Amino acid sequence: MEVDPELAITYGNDDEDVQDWSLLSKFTQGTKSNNVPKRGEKDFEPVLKDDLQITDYDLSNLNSSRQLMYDALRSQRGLVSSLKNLKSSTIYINSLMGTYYMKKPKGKFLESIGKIDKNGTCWFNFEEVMYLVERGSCIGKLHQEPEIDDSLKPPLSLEKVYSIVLKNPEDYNQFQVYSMLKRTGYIVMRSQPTDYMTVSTPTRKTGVFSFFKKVLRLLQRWLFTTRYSAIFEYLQSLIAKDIRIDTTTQESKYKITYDVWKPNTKFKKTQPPVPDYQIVIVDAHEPFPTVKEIKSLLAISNTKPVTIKQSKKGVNINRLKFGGNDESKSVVFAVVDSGLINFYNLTGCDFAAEGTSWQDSWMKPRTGVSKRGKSRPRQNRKTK
Amino acid sequence: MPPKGSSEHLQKYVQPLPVDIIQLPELIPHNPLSWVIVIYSFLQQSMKMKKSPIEVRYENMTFKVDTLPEMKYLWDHGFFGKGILSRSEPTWLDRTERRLLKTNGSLTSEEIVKERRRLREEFKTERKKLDDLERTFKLENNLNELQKLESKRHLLTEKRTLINKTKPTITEIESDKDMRLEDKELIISDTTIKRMEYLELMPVESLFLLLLNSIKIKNPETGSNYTSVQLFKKLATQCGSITPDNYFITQFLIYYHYKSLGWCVKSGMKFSSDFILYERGPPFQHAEFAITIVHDKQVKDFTYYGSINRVVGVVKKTMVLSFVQSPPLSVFQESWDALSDNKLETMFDLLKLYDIDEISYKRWSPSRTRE
Repeated sequence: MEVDPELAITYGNDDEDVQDWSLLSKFTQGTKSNNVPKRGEKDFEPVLKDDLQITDYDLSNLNSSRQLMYDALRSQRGLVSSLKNLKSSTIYINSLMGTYYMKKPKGKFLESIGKIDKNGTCWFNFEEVMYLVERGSCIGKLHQEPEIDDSLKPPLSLEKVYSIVLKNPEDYNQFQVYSMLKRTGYIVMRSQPTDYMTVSTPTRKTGVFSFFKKVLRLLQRWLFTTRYSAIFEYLQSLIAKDIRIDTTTQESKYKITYDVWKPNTKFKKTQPPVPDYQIVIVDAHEPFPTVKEIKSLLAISNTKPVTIKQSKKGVNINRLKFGGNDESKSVVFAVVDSGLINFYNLTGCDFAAEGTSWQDSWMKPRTGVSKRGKSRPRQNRKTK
Repeated sequence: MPPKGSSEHLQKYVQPLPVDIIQLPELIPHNPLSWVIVIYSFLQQSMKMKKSPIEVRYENMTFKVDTLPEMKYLWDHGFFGKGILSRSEPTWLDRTERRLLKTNGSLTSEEIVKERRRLREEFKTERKKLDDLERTFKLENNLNELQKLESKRHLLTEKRTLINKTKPTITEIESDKDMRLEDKELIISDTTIKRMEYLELMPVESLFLLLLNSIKIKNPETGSNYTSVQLFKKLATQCGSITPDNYFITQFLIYYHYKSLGWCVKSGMKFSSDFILYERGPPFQHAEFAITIVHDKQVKDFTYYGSINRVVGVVKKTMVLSFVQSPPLSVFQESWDALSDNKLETMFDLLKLYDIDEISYKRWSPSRTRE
């Protein structure tokens, strides 16, 4: 059983949420009652009668809510696969080689998990094994040489799978990030390593002017100025660098571990589209990366650009916030602190490339009464 | 103070810098009269432009503007400085005149905030009443009344959201009726109040305005006015040792970077940041960005930036890390030694040695973006 995106709601909309069983009610059998009180904005506080007994109002609400919880819990858990299909739900663990495979792969989860070779064997990464065993989609057994019929042997316990598969604390962090994103409903796959590239980014682009423009600007400066944007451009040019060679090629300890896609029914793991997010996993106790490390990550990152509406003229604030062109890529840092995961999205932005924020049209405000061009802005200094 | 982005504001704040420029009326080439108007307008405005720089007092490490027209002028032309007795715009005199002399005039932002706070208190009292009613009905298990209460609550919530847009009139404002003893000292005559407020400029603002030639600052030691380079050197020296990561130099570099891109740059102190950026200015919108300067050698952990991010996130701004890559000490020293008091370009040669990289830093909540 692959994770149902709808079911994933139960993971909670916020870290601090209390389980709302009413959301689960439509997945459980035999219950049709939907008149569960919606959760309000404040925490529930029972109203007590003078004899300190709970009111009838609260009692009936409590009962119906509790019934929903029982209904939800009553549904089948543990191994989801039937005994008949057990062979195609068994993952063999080769602890010596560190490989994990399934002989007769079958199941919806294969749409985004595992890699099937020519012989029809499906190979898994360690986090995929743990995820599938933990949520009851598969069982784990030890690989044996020569292969014997082990259908009568009991499967490995979850604890055993953990202890064999996990090699170091980083693996555990990685698994937690993987499993959290999977359970939330995302499609998660290991990112294919790409070679580091040398990037040279020209910044403060305002420095590149044609000769003619330069002369014109000088003229404007010496004679008179008629536009504030010209003043700003001149001020920018004073600290502008014509071209900036910046090599971010360096051995970085950070790497992009996962590619993440929003739930998508057309997803094909053999031909995945450009990911929506790319995840770098770090431990909370590591220092924050340097700008060079971030920039080399951004240089190799390849995420789907956010579609930014072309706003009115002037700077596009959303592009500065979310990226949205080829230059401003983004990468997500998953900061893991003993099981708690906090995600930060780091996007490259370039204020200089966006140009001047001030717009000269602001000097001539449109007024309701006057016709175009007639309204002269206030020139005099206001004296009181 | 009219609401954000009102036409009154659009009319008032039309100049982003305290620098006068010549604005010519539209020229219609085939109309000779149009030429005359343009030339007349040009000459007329050139005459007016000979404005002398505003005098700024520099004492006890602070930059002060004392006279009211000049304070207002610096605020109205790019929102420079802070009224020392006001929230930002120097409005103390307006408020005090209204309080003590009962004068009219448009409301200041401080007065509007006060009125909105009163309305919010009122809202809370109303809400408390409904909470009490709810308790009663629950005890009675009165589902009918509870349902009615829900709609009342809904109405009240709607009213609450309107408070942020309330534009009170002067008559609505409750003024403090009683005059305090110390108020007597403020009243000079029936129409005049003693002026207590001055405008304080940030050091980076002062240097920026000085190099625009909008202000002048007297050096008490020499009796002559500071040149931009002199002030730059003085402020850098005051902020610790002269090294590539000198606090003032990097602050000024980043301030200048955004200021020259036309942003309205104010202190980000209230949001644990170095600067905040307004697209046009405080009367028009909230600041969009909060800038945190990061030096290349600075080592901090994720908790440090996470804390700033939480503060900035609460006020719905986007946190931007501005990484400053400073030059090697030898290169920096050479440029510092080459600073020449009367050559502004030597200061920019020094600033050009630095590189700026910007990264926007946002918290990602997977369950919210899944769709």
